[in-house]
Order: sequence, then structure tokens, then C-alpha cells
Amino acid sequence: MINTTIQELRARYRTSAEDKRAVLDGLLTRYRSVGKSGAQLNGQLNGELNEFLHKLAGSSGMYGYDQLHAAARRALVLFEGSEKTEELTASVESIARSLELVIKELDAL
Amino acid sequence: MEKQALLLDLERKSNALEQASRLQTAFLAGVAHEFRTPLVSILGYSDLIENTFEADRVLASAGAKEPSGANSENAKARQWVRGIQRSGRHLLSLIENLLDHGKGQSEQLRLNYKAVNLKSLLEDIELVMTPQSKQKGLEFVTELNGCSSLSDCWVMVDPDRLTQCLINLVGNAIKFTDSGRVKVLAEYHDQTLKIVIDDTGIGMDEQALLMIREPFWQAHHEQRPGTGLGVTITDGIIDLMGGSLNISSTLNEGTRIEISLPLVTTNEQAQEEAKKQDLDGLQCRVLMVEDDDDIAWMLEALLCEKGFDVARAVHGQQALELAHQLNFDLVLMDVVLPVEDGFEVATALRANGHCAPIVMMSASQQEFDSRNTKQINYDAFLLKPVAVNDIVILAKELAEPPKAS
Repeated sequence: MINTTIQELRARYRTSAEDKRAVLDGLLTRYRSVGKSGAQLNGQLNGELNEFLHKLAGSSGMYGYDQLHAAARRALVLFEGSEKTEELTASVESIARSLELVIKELDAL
Repeated sequence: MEKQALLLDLERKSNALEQASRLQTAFLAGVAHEFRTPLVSILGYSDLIENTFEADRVLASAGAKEPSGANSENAKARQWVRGIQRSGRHLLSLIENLLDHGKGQSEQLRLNYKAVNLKSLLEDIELVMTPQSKQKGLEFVTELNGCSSLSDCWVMVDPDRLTQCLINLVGNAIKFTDSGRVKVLAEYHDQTLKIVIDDTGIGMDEQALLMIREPFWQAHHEQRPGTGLGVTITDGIIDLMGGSLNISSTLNEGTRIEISLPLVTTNEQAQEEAKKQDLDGLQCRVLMVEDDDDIAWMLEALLCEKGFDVARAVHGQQALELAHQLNFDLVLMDVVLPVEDGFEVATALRANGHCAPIVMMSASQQEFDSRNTKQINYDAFLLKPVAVNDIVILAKELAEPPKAS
């Protein structure tokens, strides 16, 4: 017996994960283009990235995607320590990989 | 001069200790948050699964669904899911205790008294502890005396804290018993609740009996490891409840622990209270102000399964418009919102005359602590990820009964 509510939630999260991947790709491209220095980040990009990571950490935890949640939390911690820009880039890349895994997992269900 | 140097040294050490304490608190808060997140997700999904079983049961009993052999299997599975939920909720309360302990605020533990059916409380303990006792081949028995029927078993206690105490003590009894049995006997008379945990375990000598309430002290810690906090925490909680914890033991024969709790209400008063607590039929109209779709969908699904009506706003302006058009019994308000934050929206709702209780939600305790929240009218605060059970309990505590239209 499969709960239809859970199925619906998963289907919605599948669509939303796809959107998140697109937003994350865009943010990562912009982040790379302004250079590796945290000082070069403009305020808007900073805000967008922070908000994205914050929301991703919250929702992935609630849906039980622990790896994605941990990756987003790690990135948030690095984000607050503005000196570690390279680590943050690597961390955001690992979020993209975790998102990919979540999408694959949802597709396989 | 020497005195001056000593004072300076003392101040330095005091500062270092304060900093270490702050770091410890931050570390424990972080760890507790990390543990809490997947657990809330487990509880959320298990709630949904349990509701599915319940829906099937109702359909079958109403004749809308063919009864089949699968029904008894479903009943078993439902029982297992309940086991997951009870253990999960217990783990959640332990994590929250860890946070209390880390803050050095164990003396500030608050009790939350509710009407509880003693029989159900013992069944919960049995459900959680039976797998451990079975694993060791022990007999595990619970017995209730002094109640003639189910309706005669109501008491007002803090069920989470009392369950925590019993799980600590029964867990120890199982750990230190290699053969025979562990028995939990509850007796209720003359407005005193007595619970005895009796085992046929390895027992303790006089020295161990003197030390057992000390934090981090453990009997036979090499063969049977633990945290050494169970009895200390239990003793503190029972003391806070105005009760007493008596321990007697004989080496190689067993241990007997007796909890005595004075009850402030009669069985009838507790039964009345239980009727008020009953969540069945609670009609609650919730205004959820949450801009994150994923979180909103999950919360909405879980709340709808509980029979709540949920309307959602994604920003402050929309929240004000909805509150103007419809009556709500409860507002769930995210702190981080576009344009105006949740605190500003709450203030605006109050300024516009909306008096439904407001529950703020945030993933960060610090975010909440950093605000001067005293002047903002909200009624409760929940840490994200939010456990839907906490919302249901708050809804019952805070929400006005729905007004007749």
C-alpha cells in the first residue's frame, strides 16, 4: 500500500528539485564569474545565495534528504565565514551533485 | 601587587571559562539541531503512514472497502509504525533535554502537565522496551493496580518527562539483568501514584547505591556502557514533580526502584481534562505564512491529515489580505519572508485587530534570540523543521474554538 499523499509530495519535490538545480547552476555560474574572492561578491548575489542555501537546508531536512541537507548546511556555515570562497565553491558543487542524486532517487520510485 | 596579579589571573580564567561554556552551548545546540532535523522528517513520514492505515481501517469498518486478510497485516504494521513514532518522540525529547543540559539549565526544566491514561502510558513503555528485553531473553511485565476500568486510570502528569524517567529506569533494569524478568508495577490510590521497577538483575552493593545518583557515574561501565546520566536526570525530574525516588538493591539478586508522585488532581478532574485535550473533532483554520513551497506543501499535507483547514500566504501583504477576508484560529508564521519579515507581519496583523494566536517558525534559534521580541505579539515559537504534532498541541492550547458562522 502506498500513501498517495507521500506520492504527491514526492512528485512535487521532484519538480521543485529540478527548479532548484537550474537556480543553483545560475548562481554557481554567476559566483564563479565574479572571481574567487569573497570581497568581489556583490550584495544581491550574496543575498540570493544565502537565501537559496537557507531554504534548501530547511526543506531537504524536512523531506528526509539528509545528504542534501548536510551539504546545504555545510555551505551555509562556509558562507558565513566569508574568507573561504574556494571551499564554498566546492561545497556548492557538492550540493549540485546531491540534488542530482535526489532527482535520480525520485525518478526511480 | 601580588593581589593585583592574582585578580587579573582570576579574571582571565573566568573569561576563558565563560568562553568555553559559550562554545559548549553552541556545540550542543548545533548537534541537537542536526539530530533533530532527520528525526522530525522520520516522524512526519510515519504520521502520514499511520494516517493511511487509519483511513483504510475506517473505510473497511464502514463497508466501503472489502475486508481482506491484509487487514490483520495492516493492524500489525500500524502497531510497528506507532512504535517508531513513540521511540522517535522519546528520542526527540532526549535531544531537547541534551540542549537543556548543555545550557546548564537543568534546574529550569519546565513541566507540562496533561491528563494521561495510566494504562496507555504503561502500554507505551511496553512497546518501546519490549524489543530490548526480548533481545536478552527476559520476561518484561507491566501491571496496573488500583484502577477498576480504563476510565478509572486518569492522572495529571507530565507524560513526556514521566515516560523519559521510566525509559531510563527500565532501560537500566534490562541492561543489568541477564536472566529472569523486569517488572513495572503502577499503583494509584489516595492521590498518590506509585510506580515500581523491579528486576532480577545483578544488583548493587552499598557503595554503588550511594553513588548511583551522581552525574556520569556508572556501575560496571566496562561491560555495560552508558552515559551515566539516566538516574541523575530521573532523580531531578521526580524531585521537580514533588515526588521521591527510592532505590534498594541486593547484590546478585536484583534492584527495586520506587517512584512516588503526589497527584494534584482526582481521577475525575483528570478525566475532565482529558476530554478537553481530545484532539478528535478539533476544527482549526490555520493561516500559514510561508514562502518556501516545499515546506508549505509538507506542512499543509500533514496538517490536512490531522483535519485542519489551511490557507497559505507567501508574503506579509497576502497574509494581511487573507486575515481580512477569513477568520483563522491560528497563524503559523515563518520568520524569514520576502519584503517584511515574520515579526513585522505579526505586528501588522495585531495592529489590524487580528487576535488569532501567532506561532513563529524559524530554523535558527539565534535568529529569534537576536530580535527584541518582547514587544512583538506572538504566542509561541517553533524551531524548524517543525514537528506537526507540536503544531497540533499548540493549536489545541492556543486556538479559540471555531465561531459559528
